[in-house]
Amino acid sequence: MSGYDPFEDRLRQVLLAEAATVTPAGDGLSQIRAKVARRDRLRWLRPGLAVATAAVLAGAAVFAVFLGDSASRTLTQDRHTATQPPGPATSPPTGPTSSPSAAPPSGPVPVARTGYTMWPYTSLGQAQAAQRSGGGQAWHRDSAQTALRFMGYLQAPEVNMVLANERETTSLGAGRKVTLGRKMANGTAEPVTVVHLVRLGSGATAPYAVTVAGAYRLAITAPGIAAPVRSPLVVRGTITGVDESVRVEVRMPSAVTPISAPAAAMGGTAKPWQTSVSFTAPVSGTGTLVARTDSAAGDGAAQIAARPVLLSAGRAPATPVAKPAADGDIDGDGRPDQVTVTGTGTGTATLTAALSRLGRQGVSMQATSTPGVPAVMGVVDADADGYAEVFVHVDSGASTGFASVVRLVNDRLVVVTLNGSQARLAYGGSVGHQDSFGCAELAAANPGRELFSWTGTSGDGLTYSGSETVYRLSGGSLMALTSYPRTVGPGQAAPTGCGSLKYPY
Amino acid sequence: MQASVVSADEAITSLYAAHYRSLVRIAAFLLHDVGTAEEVVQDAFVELHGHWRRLRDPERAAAYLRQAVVNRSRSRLRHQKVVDRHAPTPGPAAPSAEYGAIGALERAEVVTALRALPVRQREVIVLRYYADLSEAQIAQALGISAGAVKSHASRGLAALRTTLERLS
Repeated sequence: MSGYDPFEDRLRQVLLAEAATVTPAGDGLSQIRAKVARRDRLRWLRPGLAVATAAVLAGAAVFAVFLGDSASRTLTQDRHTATQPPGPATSPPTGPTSSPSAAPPSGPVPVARTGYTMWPYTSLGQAQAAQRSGGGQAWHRDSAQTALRFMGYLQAPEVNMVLANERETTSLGAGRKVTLGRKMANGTAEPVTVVHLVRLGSGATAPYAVTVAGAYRLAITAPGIAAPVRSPLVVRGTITGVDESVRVEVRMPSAVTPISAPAAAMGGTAKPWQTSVSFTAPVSGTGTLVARTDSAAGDGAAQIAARPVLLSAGRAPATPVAKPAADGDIDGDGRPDQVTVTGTGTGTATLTAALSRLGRQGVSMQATSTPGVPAVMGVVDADADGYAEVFVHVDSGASTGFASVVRLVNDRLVVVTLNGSQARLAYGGSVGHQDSFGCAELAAANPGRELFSWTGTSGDGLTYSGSETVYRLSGGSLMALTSYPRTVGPGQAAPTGCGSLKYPY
Repeated sequence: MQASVVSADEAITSLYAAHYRSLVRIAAFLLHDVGTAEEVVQDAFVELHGHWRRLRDPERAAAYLRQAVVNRSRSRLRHQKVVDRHAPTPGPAAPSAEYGAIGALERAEVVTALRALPVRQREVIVLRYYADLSEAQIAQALGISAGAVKSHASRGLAALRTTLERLS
C-alpha cells in the first residue's frame, strides 16, 4: 500500500460521495438504549441466573431480581418502609382505601411482557380487550381493590385489610405496592403479603394486574418468575420463622380451585424448603404459583407468596438435534420434512407434512381462494427452539398478504393462534401503510430468535410510523411479549426477513 | 478522564457520537440498505455495552465495534437475502455539494461493481478506501492476516479498476 495511484484516490472520492448520501435516522442512540434495556431484562430472566434471594424481605428481594436495576433503586428508596412491618391496627379495615390512584404514566411506557402478570389479566392483549370493551369494572382501576380481590382468587378472603399502599416505579412502568394483612386471633392486624401491581396499557382506564406477591418471612426461590414449567414441578423457597408447614399450589385465573394436587413442605427456622407439586394445566398459559403458611391458631393465612409461571400442558417433547433447526426440519430430528399445502376452494387449506420422525400429518386452516393462495412461504425455525415453523401464505389483498404459522406441539402439527384465533401476520403495504414480519436474532449475550411484526402508517408515503411487536411462540399460540414504537424513514427498509422465508410480495 | 471510571452508558454515548455515522455508512456499503445497516450498528453497540466491563478502553472499543459491525453485516447478508428486495432503489440521491463533482453515474457504477465483489474483497475495499483504516486495523476487524488483507485489496482493486476505466 504505497505509492500514489490516481485510481485509488478517485475510488476514495467515489466512496466518500456515496457514503454522504447515507444519513442515519438520528434516533440511533435511543434505539440502542432501548435495546440495551430490553437485553438486560432478558438476561435477568434467563433461567439459572434467576433469584439469588437473601430473603428476609422475601417479597421485595424477589421483586428486585425480577425487575432488574430500576427496581433495585426503588427498593433502596423504599427500604425503611419495607423493613418496618406496618403498625398494628391503625390501618383501616377492609374496603376501598384512600389510596391516591396512580396518575396515568406519562411518556413512553414500557409494556409488561406477557406472562409476567398473573391476575386478573396475564397479558396486555387481555387487558386491552377488556379495556376496549368498556367491561372493566371500577375495581380494575383501583390498586387496593385489585389486590384484595387477588386474595379472593387465592382463596384467602380473610386477608382483607389494606395496611399500606405505596407508589412504586419499575421497569414495567408506574405501579403500586399494596401491603395486605388480616386480624389475627389475638386482635392485632398482621401483614400477610405485599402485592405488587402494574397498570397494563395506558390511559385512565388501564386496569391493574398483579405481577408478584411477596411475604416478609416466606419466599419462593425456584422456579424463576415467569419460568416455563411442567408437571411435576419442584418448588424451592426459604422461610424465616419457627417451624411451619408451607403449602404449595398452582392456580390458573380461569379456575376457581387449584389445578395442582395438595403439596406441602416443612420449613425450619431460616431454612430452605422444597417440595414437588403435580398439576394438570387445561391449556398452556400463565399460572400462579402460590406458597403459604397458616397461622398457628388455624384461622387463616399467615404468609403468602405468589409468582407467575408459564405452564405447559402436555409432556416434554423429544430433544431437538440442533437449535435453531435447519430449514425444513419441522420435527427436530435433523432431517428435512416435506410439506405441501392445497386449497379446498371453500375457505380452507390443508397442509400435509411427511415428517421424517413422526410420519404423515395434516392440519387444516382458514385460507382464501385468491390466486396464489395457499402457498408455503418457507419452513424456518423462527424462535430457534429446534423445530422449524411452516409459514403459509393464506390470504392476499390488493397490497397486503397474510401468513399463518404451523408448528409441532407435542409431536402434533397445529395452526398457531393469536388471541384465540388463527394467527395472521401481515406483510406488504402501499403509500398509506406498511406491514411486515420476520424474526430477529437476539444479542450475542443471549442468543436466540424472536418473531416480530411491524405495522406503520404514513401520511406522505415516505416515513412510516408505527410499532414493532415481539412475540413468543408458546405451544400452539403466539403471545405478544412487548411492543414499542418504531419509525421507518425514507430509504429505510421495514424490518423483515427470517432466514430462507420468501414473501410473495 | 480515566477510562476505568467511565460507565458503559457513558461510553456508549460518547462512542455513538464519534463513530455511529461512519459505522452505519460502512455497514450500508456492506449491506446495501440503510435501515438494516443502522440495526446492525445498533446491535453492535448493544453488544459492546455488554462487554464494556472487559474492554474499558475507547480505542479498543472502536476496533471492537468495527469488528462487530463487519461480522454482523456478513451474517445478515447470509441470513437475510430477502432484505434486498426491500432495499431502496439506488436512485439519484442528492449528493452533497462538495462531492457534486463525482458523477452520479460513476458512483452508481462503482457501487454496483463493489457489490459484485466477493464479500472479503468488498469488506477490505470499504475499510481501506472509505474508513481509511491501516492494514493492521483491517486485519483485526476481519480476523484475517495482514497478508490476506493485501491480497483481497489488490484483487478487489483490480476488479473495480476495470469497471471504472471502462467508464472513462
